[in-house]
Amino acid sequence: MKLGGVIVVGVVLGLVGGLIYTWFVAPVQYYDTYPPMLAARYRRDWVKMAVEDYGRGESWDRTEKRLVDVPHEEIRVVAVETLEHAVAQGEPAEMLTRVARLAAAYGATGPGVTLYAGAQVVAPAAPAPTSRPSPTPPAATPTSSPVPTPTLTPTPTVLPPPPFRIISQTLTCDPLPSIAVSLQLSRTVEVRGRERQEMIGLPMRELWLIWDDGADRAITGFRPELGLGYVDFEVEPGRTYNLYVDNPHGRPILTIQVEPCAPEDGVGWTSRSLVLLDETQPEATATVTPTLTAGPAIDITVTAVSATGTPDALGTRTATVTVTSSP
Amino acid sequence: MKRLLGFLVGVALGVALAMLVGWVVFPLDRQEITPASMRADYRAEYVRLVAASFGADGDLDVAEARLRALEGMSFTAPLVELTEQWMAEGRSVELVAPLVELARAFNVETSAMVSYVAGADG
Repeated sequence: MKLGGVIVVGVVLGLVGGLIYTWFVAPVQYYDTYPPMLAARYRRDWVKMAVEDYGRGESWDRTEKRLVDVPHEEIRVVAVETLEHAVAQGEPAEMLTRVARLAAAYGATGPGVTLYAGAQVVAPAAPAPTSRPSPTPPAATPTSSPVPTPTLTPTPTVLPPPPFRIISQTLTCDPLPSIAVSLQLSRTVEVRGRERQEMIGLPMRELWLIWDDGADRAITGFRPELGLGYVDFEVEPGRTYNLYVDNPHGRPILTIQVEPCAPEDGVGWTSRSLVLLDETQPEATATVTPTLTAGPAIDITVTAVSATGTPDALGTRTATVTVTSSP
Repeated sequence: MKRLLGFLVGVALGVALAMLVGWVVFPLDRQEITPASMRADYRAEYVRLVAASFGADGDLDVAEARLRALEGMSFTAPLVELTEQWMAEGRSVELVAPLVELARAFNVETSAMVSYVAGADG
């Protein structure tokens, strides 16, 4: 065998023996690592815990240090998932806002982030102290049991009626019941000086269904083909639900029991389609200015109105006008 | 003689290449760096996060799985160690209480924890 062949054989043998040693006999050992080096599943769990902890009130500085060098893409994914989970679990609004702002700070977008992060999307507010609280030996700060304050007969609190009015309710019979809600606002539109009312859907509003041992929440506007204020829920037959808008507190807008259909309607469960009118907002107004475009002749009725609002001596005149495009 | 020398040089080159590949370029188990390998301050932070998470969701199984990733003598060992260390250092109740709560959920209660809880209860 020539010298070159002998060297090649030596290299191959050395490589094989070396790989056996480095991979199986003395594989690489990691110590003093930090979160970005963790295996993906552990790193993801670390990020999840850090995001949740920030949502519960941990300071921004501490959270930023916990997440340092972790790829922002991973943080975005976990933060958005955490936000969605928190929304589904009905976590407090403050937590949703904090998680959404964290997600936004790492570049996450989407309706949930936009909705909960609010206007201050750029950087999370971080009023919390950056250092740990000063040590407090537990023995030095004994806590006394609170002395119960005697209370008189509780004064009943009358809950204000919800500021939403049901203006339409349609019942249908379905094998799988549902509750659909369309949240609308009435506004006054002024067209050619005449006022008329029109209904517009309200997007990005929270609707809640609360039952004995659970809650469901949905945001209006995610199915624009059914209206900007539309949202629907799947419901369980036989269960009773309370419907709320914005906050699941106080008096519900409606208590709904999912009942079997009336015999004449067939076999199934009653689904409801509600239209709610938001009466919390000041009545909106809009002015529509018509634009004349070239086309066939149109009739225009002109009514002269005096300063007092009554027709003046001119009365009403009708004229036919033809609009042509200018060269 | 020349061939033997060539063979040995080849083996040395092969071993050097294997060390580069096996320890640097493609180290085995690169994907399984666990929280146990983290620096002590990060491990403490990890335990703190586990306790905070348990305080929020009350999921003992998840907390146990997370603590097992620290590969202690027993899965509660890192928790107990940190709790006692922070109690000894006089850390705030806010920091120590979640750890004690988690330890008690695992039915682990050392004498230091008992006296701590008694002190905290006043």
